[in-house]
Amino acid sequence: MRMATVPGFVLLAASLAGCANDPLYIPGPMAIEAGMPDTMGQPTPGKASVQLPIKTETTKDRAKRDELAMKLAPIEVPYVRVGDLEIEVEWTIKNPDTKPGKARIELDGANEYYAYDPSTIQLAPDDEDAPETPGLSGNIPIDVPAKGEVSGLFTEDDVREAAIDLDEITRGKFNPFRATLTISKNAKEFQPMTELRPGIENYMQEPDGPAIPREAFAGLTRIDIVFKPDRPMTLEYNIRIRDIRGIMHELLLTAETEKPGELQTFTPMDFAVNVSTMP
Amino acid sequence: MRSAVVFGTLAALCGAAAVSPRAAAARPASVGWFAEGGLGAVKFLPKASADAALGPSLDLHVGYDLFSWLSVGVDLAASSHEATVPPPPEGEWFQLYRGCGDARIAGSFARFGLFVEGGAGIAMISSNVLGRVMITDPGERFSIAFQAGAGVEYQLENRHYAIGVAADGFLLPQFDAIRAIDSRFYLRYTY
Repeated sequence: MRMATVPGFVLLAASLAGCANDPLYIPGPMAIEAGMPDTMGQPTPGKASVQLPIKTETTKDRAKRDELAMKLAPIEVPYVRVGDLEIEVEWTIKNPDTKPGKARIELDGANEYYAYDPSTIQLAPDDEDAPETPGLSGNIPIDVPAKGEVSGLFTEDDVREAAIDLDEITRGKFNPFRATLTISKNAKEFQPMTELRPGIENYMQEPDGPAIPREAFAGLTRIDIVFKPDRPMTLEYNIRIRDIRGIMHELLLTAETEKPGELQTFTPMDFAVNVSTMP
Repeated sequence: MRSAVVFGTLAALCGAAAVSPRAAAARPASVGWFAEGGLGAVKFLPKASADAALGPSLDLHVGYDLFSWLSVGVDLAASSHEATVPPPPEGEWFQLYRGCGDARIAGSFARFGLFVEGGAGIAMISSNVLGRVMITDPGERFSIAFQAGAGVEYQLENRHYAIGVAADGFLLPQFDAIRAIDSRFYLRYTY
């Protein structure tokens, strides 16, 4: 009797260990080199995108999603939702120069519906002094010592906030400044608005349709990193993912070449804002 | 530092045996089903030692004494390590789980016993963080495990209990043939 309890305990401990929520690591395919002067003498930014290797949706998952979509109709329910993947992006900047410099790292990305690139979005077409359209996270000046390295990360909270901001900006038609300057990581829902029309003076957005509940918030399926140093520097990064729902392909980026048929294909639209002055 | 503690313990035990007038008297020890629980540390050997730090380990060994000098059993071990791969990532940890069937040949002298053991089984790593330095391949989580080692045991007055120190070297061929030493202090209970 006593002997039976020992293997039982061992099996239980082994099962619990096996079920642990262990992270996956996706190293950036290559370092981003940026900061070289362009023809105008301005430092050029560098950009990299990593499409997350997500498995094709199973019939069971699809059935569950359809069931949720019926419950929430007419709201569309994405395959990859906020909370399915907890993502962290760790980075290291290296400055080979003999002078200290500054650099900014911006996190953008895409969900399965929309890709967000703030450099293509003009919110104040008539105002040359208007601030740049914000990225989803980061873009804070970082001091990098001469011949030195600086490391940091976008935390899981940062990336979750970025995913919700992206959904608010795209499906919710929020002004990007409003979305990124408010904290939404614990939001239970957001109210979609009528189209954003920055070209029309005194235009007011109105609520449009039912609120989108948290269970239908779209999660990130692509991570974009924009690196903006003021002198030549390199950025190495690593994406750490806790796969809560078990939807990541076990081969990670290698699956793109070895088992491409097992990866879900997403074709997000490039998000754009209507800057027409016509109502 | 840790080895100094181990040798200090052994020296203290040997010293206690030397000053006792009944030191040479053999102590009765139970034979049969036994269980051992151990705490220790796992240290990777080069070249993996550059990419994974020394980490604490927990060992559980369950077995049966076929004879007083031969036993067979199952050894389960778990250890936790900081990945010291080139950043990023930085400050990340991984766990290594091992399960092996093993055989142990033992001999005793008065209240002390010596043994050698060896076995084979399977090992699992909790994440792919060592993939950055090519120790694991994409999607690889399991490896065959080979281990061998030795230990010293001290039989307590209660015939069911013994304490000891042991060290096992292990090899994981699928994980770029990494090698490590698992050393532990343990308590044994024989039913």
